Amino acid sequence: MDKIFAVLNQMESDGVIGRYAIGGAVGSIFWLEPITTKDLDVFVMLPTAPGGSLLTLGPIYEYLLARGYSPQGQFIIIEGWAVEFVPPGTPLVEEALAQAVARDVNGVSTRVFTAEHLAAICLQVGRPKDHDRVIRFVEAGALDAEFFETILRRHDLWQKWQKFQQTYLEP
Amino acid sequence: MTELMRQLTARKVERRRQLAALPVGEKLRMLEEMVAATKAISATRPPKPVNPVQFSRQEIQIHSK
Repeated sequence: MDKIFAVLNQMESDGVIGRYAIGGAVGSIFWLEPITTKDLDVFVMLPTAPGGSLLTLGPIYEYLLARGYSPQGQFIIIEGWAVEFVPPGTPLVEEALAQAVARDVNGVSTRVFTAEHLAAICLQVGRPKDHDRVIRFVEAGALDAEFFETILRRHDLWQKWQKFQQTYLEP
Repeated sequence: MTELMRQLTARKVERRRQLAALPVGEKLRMLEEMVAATKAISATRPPKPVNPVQFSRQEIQIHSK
């Protein structure tokens, strides 16, 4: 997977994408135990065309297709992995991208969402598998309670967190 | 929750913590192995369903010899 990170770094250097960070299940693996997934979510700031305000994934596809990678649905297959490029859709994800931290994988640097942002996003999305992941973050002791609380309050998730605790974390 | 269940849960959480503490490169390698194993399972075709009538005729032939 470090080969994919190298491709992403090159894309960022070439200006095809702006700041990027790994999120989703693979992002969680940076903080938790390995969990299975079939795709890699890459959150990206998309550079806008001069004079335009329309965001498009077109340049990403053109760049990667020219290098022999193939599209498959909403994914692009890079080094055998289905990679999805996702522009931030909520203020929480925007913040997660802005505050993502650098990590080294086998000598290749990459950026990943903080554990607190990943857990907050899971709480916000709220599917059963997201709830399961929040529990794993808590059980692993991966969250800085103060930082997590700040994020939850800023993004209006505090009540949801209280309810979540009552449902899943309190005996 | 019984004491046994509590112990099992505690052991599971501890095992998860141990795995979480591994280097990221190692954890991503484990993920790649899991995905490859899943692909290998889905690539294995199940055997064709047997026609029960044909099968029982063959059985009769074998036993009648």
